[in-house]
Amino acid sequence: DFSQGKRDMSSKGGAYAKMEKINAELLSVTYGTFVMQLLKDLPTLESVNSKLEEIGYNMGLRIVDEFFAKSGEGGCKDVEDTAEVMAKRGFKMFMGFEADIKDWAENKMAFTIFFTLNPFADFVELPEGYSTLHYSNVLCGIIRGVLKALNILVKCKFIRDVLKGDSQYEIRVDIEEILQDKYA
Amino acid sequence: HPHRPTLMGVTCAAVVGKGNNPLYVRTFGVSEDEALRFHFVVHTSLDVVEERRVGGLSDLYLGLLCPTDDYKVYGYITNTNAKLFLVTDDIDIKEADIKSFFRRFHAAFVDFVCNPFYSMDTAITSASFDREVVQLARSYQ
Repeated sequence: DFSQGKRDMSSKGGAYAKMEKINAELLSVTYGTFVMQLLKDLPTLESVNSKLEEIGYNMGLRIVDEFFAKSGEGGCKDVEDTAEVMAKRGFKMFMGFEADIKDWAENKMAFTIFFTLNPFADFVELPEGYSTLHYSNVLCGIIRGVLKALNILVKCKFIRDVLKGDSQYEIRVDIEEILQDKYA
Repeated sequence: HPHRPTLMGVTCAAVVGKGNNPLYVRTFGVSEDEALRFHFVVHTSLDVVEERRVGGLSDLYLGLLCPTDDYKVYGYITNTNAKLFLVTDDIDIKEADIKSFFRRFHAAFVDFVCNPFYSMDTAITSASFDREVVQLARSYQ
């Protein structure tokens, strides 16, 4: 809805409603089969984590333009604003639900994004010996790619994972540098 | 040996693959030795499944396959030829309950099979699938 003057954080209709939907199970099964293929092809769990992150990064770089085109968002005034918009509106648009932000560092150079739903990991049960695998690491890459497209350089990692018994997913985002050419 | 009462009639729930290989056999309220017997009970029921199927069934629920001395074995086949079995010693068990058990057992199996770490047609060792089946069996009190 482009007629809104002020940013509407509510998720009724709007950007999410405009997106074409596919069956979430198709996503889960596709991603799962893909992770299994990487586990076969790559030598260590760590290398699979890296590859998933790299793939996510390439996805993130690209979806930012889509997000701005469909959401009607303008530029964000600061990093805190960017994080909130990404978590609430970005996640809502692409994943179908809102994530949330907490634990901002004093200097505002780190934060945690957290959520309970995760369509990538539906139906997944990690077997024994996979505790160092970050199954949903594509999400860390996506966040890194999204923020890179906005000239914010970050490192992300999962610090809590439902597949490992935690009550929710938490990704810690550490901001390394904010490049000055950010568009106004 | 004393026969302990089972959890409301469900003595055994089993999944058998399309190659007639047992994937999951879960017994309730029986000893280790007796548990082995259920593998045999399920195995002999497979022949009856074959007979029932020759007739070109449209229904997944196969009904009572064979009443042995102490137990009744009910069968269900999925569209991908996985077989589900329910063994019960409850003479009063209602057919509606059996059908609903199979529907839910089937649903749990379908969800489980979506786990990318599970290789199709191999033994099911998942603790959470097991918990779900136990919970399912418990609900038929």
